Amino acid sequence: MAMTRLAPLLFLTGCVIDQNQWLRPRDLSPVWLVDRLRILAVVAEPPEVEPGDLATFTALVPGPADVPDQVRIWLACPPVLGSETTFAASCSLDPSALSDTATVPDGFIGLEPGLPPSWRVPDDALDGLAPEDEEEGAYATIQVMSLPSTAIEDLSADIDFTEVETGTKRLVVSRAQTPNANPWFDDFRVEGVSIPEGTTVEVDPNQPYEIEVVLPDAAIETYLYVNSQGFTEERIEEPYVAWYADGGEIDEHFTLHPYLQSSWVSPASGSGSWWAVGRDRRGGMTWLERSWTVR
Amino acid sequence: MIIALWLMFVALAQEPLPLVAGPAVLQHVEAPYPEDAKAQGLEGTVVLLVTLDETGAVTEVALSTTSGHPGFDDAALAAVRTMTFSPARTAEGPVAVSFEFAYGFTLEEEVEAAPAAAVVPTVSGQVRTKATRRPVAGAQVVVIGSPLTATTDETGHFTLTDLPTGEVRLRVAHQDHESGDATFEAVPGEVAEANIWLEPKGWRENQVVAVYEGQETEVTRRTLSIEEIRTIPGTFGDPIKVIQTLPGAARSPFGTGALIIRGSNPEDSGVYVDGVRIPLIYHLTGTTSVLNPEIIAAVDYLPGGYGVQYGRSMGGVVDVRTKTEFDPDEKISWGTDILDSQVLFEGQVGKKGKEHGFAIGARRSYIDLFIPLFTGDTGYTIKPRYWDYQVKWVPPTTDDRDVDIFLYGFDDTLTLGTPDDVAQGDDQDTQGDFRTQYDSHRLVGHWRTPLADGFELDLRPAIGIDTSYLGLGQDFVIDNGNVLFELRAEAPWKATPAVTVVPGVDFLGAIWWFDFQSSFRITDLDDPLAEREAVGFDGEGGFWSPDPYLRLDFRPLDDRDRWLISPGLRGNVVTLTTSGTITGADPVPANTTTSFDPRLLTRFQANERLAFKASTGLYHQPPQPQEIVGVGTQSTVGHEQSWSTSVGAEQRISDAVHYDIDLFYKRMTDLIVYDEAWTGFGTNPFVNAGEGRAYGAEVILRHDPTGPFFGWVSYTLSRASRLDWPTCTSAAGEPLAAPAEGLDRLLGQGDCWYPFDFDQTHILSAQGGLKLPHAFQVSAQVQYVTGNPTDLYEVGIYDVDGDFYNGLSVDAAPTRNPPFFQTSVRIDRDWHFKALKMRTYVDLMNVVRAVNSEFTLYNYDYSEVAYVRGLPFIPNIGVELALWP
Repeated sequence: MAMTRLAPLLFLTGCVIDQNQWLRPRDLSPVWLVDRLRILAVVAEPPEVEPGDLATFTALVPGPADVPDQVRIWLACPPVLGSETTFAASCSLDPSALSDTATVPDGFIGLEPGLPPSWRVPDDALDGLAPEDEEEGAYATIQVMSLPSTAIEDLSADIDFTEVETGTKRLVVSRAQTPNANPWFDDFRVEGVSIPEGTTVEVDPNQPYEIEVVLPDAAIETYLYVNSQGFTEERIEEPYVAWYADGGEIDEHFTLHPYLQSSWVSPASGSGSWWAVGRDRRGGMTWLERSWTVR
Repeated sequence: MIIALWLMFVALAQEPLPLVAGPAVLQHVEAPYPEDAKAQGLEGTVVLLVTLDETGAVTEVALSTTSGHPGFDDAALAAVRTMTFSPARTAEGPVAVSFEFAYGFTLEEEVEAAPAAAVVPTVSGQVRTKATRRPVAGAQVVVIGSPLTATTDETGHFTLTDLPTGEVRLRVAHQDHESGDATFEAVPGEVAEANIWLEPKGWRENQVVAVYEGQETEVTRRTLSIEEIRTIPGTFGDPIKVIQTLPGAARSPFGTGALIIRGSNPEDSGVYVDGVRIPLIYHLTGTTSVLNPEIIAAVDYLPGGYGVQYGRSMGGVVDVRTKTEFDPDEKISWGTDILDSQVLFEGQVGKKGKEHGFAIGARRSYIDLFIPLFTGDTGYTIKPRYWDYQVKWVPPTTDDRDVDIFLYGFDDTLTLGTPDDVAQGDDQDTQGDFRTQYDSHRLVGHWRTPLADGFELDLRPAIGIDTSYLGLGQDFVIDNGNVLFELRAEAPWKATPAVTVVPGVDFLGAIWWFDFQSSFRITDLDDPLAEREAVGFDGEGGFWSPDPYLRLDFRPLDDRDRWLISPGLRGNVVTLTTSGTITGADPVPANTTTSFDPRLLTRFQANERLAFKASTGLYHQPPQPQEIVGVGTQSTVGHEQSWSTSVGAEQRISDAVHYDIDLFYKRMTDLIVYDEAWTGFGTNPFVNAGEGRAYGAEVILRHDPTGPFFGWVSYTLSRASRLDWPTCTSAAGEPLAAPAEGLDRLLGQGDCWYPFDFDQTHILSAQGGLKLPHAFQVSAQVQYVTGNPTDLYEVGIYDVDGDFYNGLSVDAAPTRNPPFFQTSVRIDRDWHFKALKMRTYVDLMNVVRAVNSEFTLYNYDYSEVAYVRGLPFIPNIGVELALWP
């Protein structure tokens, strides 16, 4: 008799426990969804430079329409030779240094909009390395910070880093025999149909579509690599694509060459964009963007 | 400190071991019926507390419950003192025992001498226990509506004559069984036959729940009876899982089964089966141990303060003892639940007096067969699978010798498959199916024999093989194995009545090998632009660890059981030889490391109910295999060390209720930590530079299963922290020259110290079971545990080349996962038939559907936090059958 009274009580206790008090893993925002300001890519041109060379940089930073106006601060740090890693996780710059317009702080290479980033690699960036190590090279660090334009109006104030989107990129500094070049996409296709730049694709609601980019063979480089045994190997790049959208649902975030298509299911309504970001795993990058709208 | 401990009054732990055979009446003595009671027509029952020694001889008889008539009491006391019993036995042999014994006085009418047995109606029969079919001695057989009674003899037989003609109804009563009835037709000139089956009403059928006098050499040894722990909810009926409800054991995430004892890493605790160490105690689901529950006689849990016979561990010890005595009647046990099915056949064969005990069993999981039913045809597969087997043989020996052989093993495999046309991340080198497999097999012998008066030899040789495999796709494989030789030898010598000298050897030798192949260097994974290079190396060698030890058991008082002082010394010697490409270009000489463990344990029994205890000592642990094998160079890591101290007390509040409290402190030094400066092949990736602290209080309040109820409440309040010295930085991120000294270092706090991964401040666990009428039993368990420490990231820095974010913590304040809370309920129903016992149960795990977090997960840029939830509400339905063919 006691049990018959106890059992419903136990189950009732369960009913008052909030099953939704925490996010479940499946509730976390998917990486392919651009529902906030995101740095999706930074292209260095060229992606591999010699000491003394000039490199320019562009960033793909999409976001919802209601994101406050942004500015992008660009920094560069030369390779740190002799340390455990030649890649600094981030360059350090006191933003208040930017308030002094008379001098350019160390490492500052651009401010967008207005001052496109570019950086000439110091001539002595690889000094001290053995010739075979110069051929392998080292990483300089390029850092871009996107923050609300209101933040830069008072640079002496503390910055709320939760409002700052920061990205770091390696710029390969070397004297390689076959320096890297950025890859490129020839085409963006939806259901096999080529979509020219500036075209908006009309899609049916809640329907699956195959989205695809075309990476020409010429964009996949063959290069020389001196392995740890001292032998020179001829290698071929293994590029991959990361897919993004600001609506609908992408099935596969990554696709590896030669499978450069993903599946996207359209939302019930609205309009937005797709982004395909290609990487060659050597520091080279490219991207394409196309727009969609639901009929 | 040591002197203080020597002077400290400490306690004698007296935990009952489960009996595998209870005492039985061999010769019943009829007490004379008191004349005055007979004259007054009085009847009654006297309950006596009977104490037997190891031989079964009656050493003490005391009145437990009076009949209300002193004549009955005195007559019963006198009769029982002259009765003879068989001794009670545990898995370790005969033991002294105390138990309650009911003696009844029933008036019989004076009858004239019967003419011929065949003339008057007569009934003859036997009373036996259902399912086990064992005869019930000393049962009262009463003819309803008649003064006729009889008592069954040691074979359970009885005879009643001069019955009334016609339908006769018998009622049989026995203190350990439910009453039973039988009806038959009494006919003059005929002898009717009535075989009556009784249902046992104790926790263990046909056994007596008892407390026996024993003397263990561990300060804190917590032992639970199998029947207690098999019905604890949420354990899948597994006796070993119950360890996690005892003080000192932290809660491990669901599905891992990790043993985390007193702030030690899971690999720091040793798991033994009959004294021989095994690599894993749980199958890969973490819910089921690798031994069939039916073959387990007892589980000893030693959270710390154990003697020198256990080594190579800094944490706790779990020693699973398997049965060495089996019932004469063959028994088949079969059980099944949502995870697996198991079967065990046990019994005795051979001529009377030369019986061989044996058991053979096996288990296989079938969750791998069910999972595809839920995942559908998606191309994704998850196949966890395990099986195990056990074979035990106990040949006949003389009383003072023990011999047994145990063969057992298990296999665990987990395969995670993905569709071939779906990329798993952006890395070409980590595509493909994941598969891991672990195999372990052991053949263990045991031989104990007296060599001389007060001198005996106990040998446990073992041979085994362990293999493991881990593979990812086609390009990443780790394959290794060991052939092991173990010998545990002890030769206790009782030099004087007060001193026992126990020399021993705990030998472990192994031949090992491994092969590692990868399409990338591990260090390349940190750099998304790193040029990949395939690496592969192999290794083989020997492992040799002949650890000698010497222990003195000194009992200085005339009452030898009151005070035990047990100093001991253990030598730890590990020699490792390595060859193969792992050594690099140059051969690597043998690597030998040594250390010594002095330990002191002492216990004092202040009175019959109160005991004090204490221990202190060093515990050294050799490096794990992956730590001691140098990568392209000679390994330089040595033993890790723990200085462990505990004090405590035990008190029996009543015959059934007692508590046990311990305070402990552990100072761990020379912990092996990863060297952040490791540069790859040719340098040592590990160094002995870490430290750890763990301290706290443990208490368990327990109600023995002496009646319809059993249960215990355990609580642990503790703190455990770590210091990874070479990479230590201050809270501001600045490198430090040295960690804090003084009290901070003693307590493991201040700069550089961080909470142990499983530091759980409060661990509360309450569980109990209640026997209900109609063979029902209900059990419940409630657990509350502080959440594990975790890193809290607030922002992420995007690595553009690798397309991932690195988490950053702006606010460095330590944080924890939410606390864990769970309630489980289990209902059992037993059915007893003549040769069959069936138990069905429903185990309602997490019955209140509490939401618990096991791990913290972040979204891609660390702006959102989610928790991997623990066990949902699971109704586990199971059936266990025991058949006596």
